[in-house]
Amino acid sequence: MSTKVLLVDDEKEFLDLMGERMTSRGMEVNTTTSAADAIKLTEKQTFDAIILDLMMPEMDGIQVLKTLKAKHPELQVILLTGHGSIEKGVEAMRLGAMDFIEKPADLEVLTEKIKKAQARKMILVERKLEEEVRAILISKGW
Amino acid sequence: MNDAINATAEDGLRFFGRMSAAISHDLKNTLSIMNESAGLLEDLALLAEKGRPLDPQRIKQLGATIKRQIQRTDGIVRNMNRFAHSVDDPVKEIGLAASLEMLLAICRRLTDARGITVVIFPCSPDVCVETRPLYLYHMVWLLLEWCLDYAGPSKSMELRIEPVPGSVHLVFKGLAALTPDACKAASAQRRQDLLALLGAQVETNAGKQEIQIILPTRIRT
Repeated sequence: MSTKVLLVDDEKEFLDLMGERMTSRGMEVNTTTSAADAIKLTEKQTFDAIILDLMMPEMDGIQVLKTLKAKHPELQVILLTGHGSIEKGVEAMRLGAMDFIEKPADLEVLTEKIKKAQARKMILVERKLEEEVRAILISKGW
Repeated sequence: MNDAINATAEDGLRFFGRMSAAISHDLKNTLSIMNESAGLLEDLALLAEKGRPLDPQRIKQLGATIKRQIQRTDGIVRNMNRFAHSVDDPVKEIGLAASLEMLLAICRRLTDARGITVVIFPCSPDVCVETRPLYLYHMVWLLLEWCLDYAGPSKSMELRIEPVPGSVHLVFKGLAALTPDACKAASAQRRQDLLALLGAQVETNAGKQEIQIILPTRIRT
């Protein structure tokens, strides 16, 4: 099964190029230039990793990250930052981002991080399923 | 007195830093697009080596993308250079429309982040003013940032440059959400230090949904 990635950035050309390169590496890529759309998309579909630009119009990346993590704690978010310093990245990780990468990004490095995100998400989903099964077993008394 | 001057200078430096950071973000974005274009060219070359035919049209498109981003980067660097030179002389003659267009271009990322479009209406021919450029840019930015809260549902506002004898009015129009209370609050928060350095005044008019800076064409030094 291919890795499902959501790319969120306000630069359409960047999304198209990055999306094409990721697709050619076997990933299933969705893109959006809108933070609000990204939140809506996560309601309808599941993603192994979300690559999110820190500086978005109307709602910045940190706000989007908080909203996404509040609704779906298992989501793995990797922030793309144009900041020359690591402070914002550290803040993002404190808020639950899996990692951050500085722009311009090296796709090979990003791909590695996406693989880690997918593995981490699988563990979290499995753990959640186990807990649900355990809760059912306890409540039903089987 | 010295403390007040130091505070104004320190705040000016903070403004300069914020604008420089906005410029660096824009540069990072154009670099990212060029980086991905170069990466895609490499990907296509690798695929061609493995026997997949190379589509000349796709190569042309990528070349055009890189050229476009180089032009965009050139514009950003030109603005950065102009902004950096605003501190060369404490008082300088500047073309107002060209300077404010430069400032708005630098701020665009920050205004876009609030979802507000700012359209500048320059006067023709451009009006030259002798002023303290950095303090003027700082004052315009502070006012612009304040105005963003009052742009109303259209999410758009205008900056009009209107010359009158002896001075120029920089009018922020279209502040649909501006109220008399907000105007009163603005008076209390007014940056008298910057206004004094520029010899300027600020007037608000909730009825006309506008706020303006009245700037002398020649500063008294």
